[in-house]
Amino acid sequence: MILGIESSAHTLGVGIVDNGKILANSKRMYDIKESGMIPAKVADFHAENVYDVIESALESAKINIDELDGIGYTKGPGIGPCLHVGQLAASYLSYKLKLPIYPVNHAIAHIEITKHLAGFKDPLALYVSGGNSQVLGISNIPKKHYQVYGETLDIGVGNMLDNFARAAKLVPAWGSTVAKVAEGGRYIKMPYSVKGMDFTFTGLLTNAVRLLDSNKVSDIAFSLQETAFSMLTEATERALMLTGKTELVLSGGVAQSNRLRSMLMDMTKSHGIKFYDADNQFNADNGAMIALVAEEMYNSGATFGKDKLGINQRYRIDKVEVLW
Amino acid sequence: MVKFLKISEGSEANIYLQNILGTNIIIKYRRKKNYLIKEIDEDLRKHRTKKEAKIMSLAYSSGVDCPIPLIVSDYSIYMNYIKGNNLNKVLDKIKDVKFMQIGKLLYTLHKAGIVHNDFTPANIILKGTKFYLIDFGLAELSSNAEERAIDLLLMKRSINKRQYSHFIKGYSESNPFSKEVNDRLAIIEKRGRYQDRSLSLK
Ligand SMILES: Nc1ncnc2c1ncn2[C@@H]1O[C@H](COP(=O)(O)OP(=O)(O)O)[C@@H](O)[C@H]1O
Ligand SMILES: [Mg+2]
Repeated sequence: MILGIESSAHTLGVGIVDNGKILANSKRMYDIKESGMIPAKVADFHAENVYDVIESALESAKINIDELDGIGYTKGPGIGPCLHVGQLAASYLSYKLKLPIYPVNHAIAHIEITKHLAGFKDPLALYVSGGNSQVLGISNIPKKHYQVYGETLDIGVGNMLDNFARAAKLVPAWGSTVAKVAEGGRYIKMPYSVKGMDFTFTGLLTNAVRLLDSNKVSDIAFSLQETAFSMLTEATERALMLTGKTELVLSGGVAQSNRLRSMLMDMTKSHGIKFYDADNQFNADNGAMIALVAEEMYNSGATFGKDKLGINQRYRIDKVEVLW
Repeated sequence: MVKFLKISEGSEANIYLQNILGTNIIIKYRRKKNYLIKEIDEDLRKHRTKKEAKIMSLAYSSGVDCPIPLIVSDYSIYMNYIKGNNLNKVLDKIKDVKFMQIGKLLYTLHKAGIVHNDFTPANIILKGTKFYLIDFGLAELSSNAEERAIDLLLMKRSINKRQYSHFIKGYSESNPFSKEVNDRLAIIEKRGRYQDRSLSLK
C-alpha cells in the first residue's frame, strides 16, 4: 500500500493505492479568490493542512498508517514553495515509518493514472494543464521515457484561458468560466497557429484580448476556445498518424473541458482509435495519481538516493526514465 | 468514365491517382474534419490548399525537382504523377553517395527561401536515378537559420550516419549559409526540446 502527496499548485492532495486500486483520494484546495496565487501563501495553506489530509485519506481507505509500504510525492514541475511542503511531509513520513520514498513527475502521474483507468497498453497522450500542453507517448529509445511529439512553444492552454478570463473580467477567472460564457457564441476569425505537431497560444490570446473592446464576450470566448482546442486536436491527430498508436488518453486540468473531450472523441472515432478521459477528480490535481506512479516504481524495485529526492520546479517529463 | 484510385490517406489529405485522357494525375484533396466547426474547417482547408500550391509552384520555378500544380480548387491540388518509390521504402537499397543529391535538393529549396518542415524520407520520391520532393503541406516562406536547421534535423533522424554525411556534404557544397545552419543545428540538438513554457511559474 502506497501513499502519495501532491502539492505542486493550489491543491493539496493525498491518495492511497493498493495494487492499482484507489483506496483514497482526499484533497483540500487553496481558494485562489482570496488573494490570488501568491506562492508563499499557498505553501502556508498546504503546510497547515497536509497532516489533516493525510489523516482523512487514511480514514477513507480504512487503513492504519503502519500498513503503508512506501511514500510518493510530487518532485515537479510546479511552484517551488508548494512542492517543498509535499516533499517535507513525505520525507518526514518516510523517516518516521522507515519506508522507501519515491519522487514523481506531476505530468507523468496525470497520464499514468488515466492510462491505468482506461486499461490501455501504449496510448498517445494529450496532456493539457495550466503551464503545459504536450502530445506524448512512450518511446524506448534510447531508454524508456515519455517522448514529446509536439507541444506548446509558448504558454500552456490553461494559462491562456485564465489570462483571457482575467482580461475579460470573468469570475472566477479560469477556463470553465470561459466555457460557460462561450455557450451560444458566434465565430469570429482568430489566428490559428499549428506547426506540425507544435503550437503557440500567445498570438491567439493577444488577438482575443484586443477584440474585447468591440465584440461580445461570448463570441470571443467561443472563438478562442474553438480555435485553441482545434489546434490541440489537430496536433494530436498528426501525432497519432505519425506514431501509428491506436489509443489516446486525455489528461491534466484542461481535460475537464467538455468541448475538448468531444472534439477528441469525434477525431478518434473517425480513425477507429480508442479514446479515454478520466473522471474529473483525476484530471484535477490529486494525490491518487502520485501514489499510483510511486507504486509502479515500488513494484519495479527502483530506489532513489538523496540526490534524486529534491524538488524541481521545471521537471521536464522527457527527462524522466520510466522504470516500470 | 474516370477512374479514381485512393493511394494514400494522411492526417489531413487523401491522395488519389486519376487517369485523365491517358495521363496520370495526382489529386491531393483536403478532407473535411468532423471535429472542427464549419467556419474553421473551410477556412483552414482553403487557406492551406492555396498556400501549398503557391509554395510548390515557387519551388518548381526555382529549380527544385518537385511536382507542378496543374489545377488548384478550394480543397484540391491537381499535380503531375511522379511514378517511383517513396524514399522510406528503399532507404537501405540505395548507395550512400546518392544522399548528396538529396542534400542538394534541400539546398535548392532553402536557396529559394522555402523551408519544408516535414523533410523526411516519406516525402521524397525516387524515380529512376532522380529524387523528387513532395508534400509542401507544412512548408513556409523563410530564410531563417533555425527553421532551415529543423529540415536538416528531421532528415538526420531518419537516416544513418554514413548516409547523413553524404547528405550534409551535398547540402553544404558551395552553399553560403551552410555554416550558419549547421551551427544552429548543433545548438538545437544540445538544447533538446527544452524551453520555458509557463507564464505563472516564473
Ligand atoms: N505527385 C505525386 N506523385 C506520386 N506520388 C505522390 C504524389 N503526391 C503524393 N504522392 C503519394 O501520396 C503520399 C501522401 O502525399 P503527401 O503529399 O505526402 O500527403 P500527406 O500530407 O498526407 O503526407 C506520398 O507519400 C506519396 O506516396
Ligand atoms: Mg507526406
